Amino acid sequence: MSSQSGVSSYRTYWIGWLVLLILTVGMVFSGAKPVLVGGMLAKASIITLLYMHLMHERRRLVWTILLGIFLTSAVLVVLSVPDGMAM
Amino acid sequence: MMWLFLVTDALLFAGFLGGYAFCRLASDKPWPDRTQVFDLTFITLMTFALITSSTTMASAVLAARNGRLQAARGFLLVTALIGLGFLGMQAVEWSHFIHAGARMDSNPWGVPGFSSYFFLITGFHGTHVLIGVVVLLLTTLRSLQRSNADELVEVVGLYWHFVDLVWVFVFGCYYLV
Repeated sequence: MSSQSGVSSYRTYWIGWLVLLILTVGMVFSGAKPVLVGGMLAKASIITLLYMHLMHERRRLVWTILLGIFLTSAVLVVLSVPDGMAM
Repeated sequence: MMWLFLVTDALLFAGFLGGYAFCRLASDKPWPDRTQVFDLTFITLMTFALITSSTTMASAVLAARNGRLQAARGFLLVTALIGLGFLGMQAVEWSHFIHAGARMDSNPWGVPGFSSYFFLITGFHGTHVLIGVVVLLLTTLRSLQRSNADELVEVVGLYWHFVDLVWVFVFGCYYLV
């Protein structure tokens, strides 16, 4: 947990809320896979970096979390997608 | 410590979504059309509720850090109420799905995995929301009197944002893709 969140005004969070809302509506109306994947990643980044204050955490913690999530996702995709498509 | 828990919990949900992807890709029957099964406007409203609750939660953390405990209490209470609203909407969603004939092992659309993963993933997520609401209410009622109130609110906030984070992927992978 960081000693300082780095965000000093409520306004920053409500701007984040507006961006999340726009991304959500955009994803629903678009339906295109690249937009959906991009939208999910963008929303996840806003939540983790801004709301969970990950951008103000120690660099080692940030890399541990990001690397863990990236490796897990890569393993899941490599294991499940080709096998699933082959069945 | 909370980060460690969140990473392990993220792996659990990643496993569920990975299993769902496998099941969907391996299905020999066409996957049901989400727009004919779910009311996407309603699901978007649920998403809107969680996004808003994340913002009020972040505002609670900021208020607690600035020593404005009454404001933090108000934001926490609003967050808990929105969480309860989300659970109510999820109950309605489950009710519609069950009335349409969906069960854990079968459904009218002929692809059992479709309803199995729906109940598994949204059920686990809903349980997380319920636990979050209880913790939020307890924090609002009791923990803000402690000297380390700002740290407690931040830890609760991390959990609540994680619940929102998981929903981003559930909403995207299950309802939209």
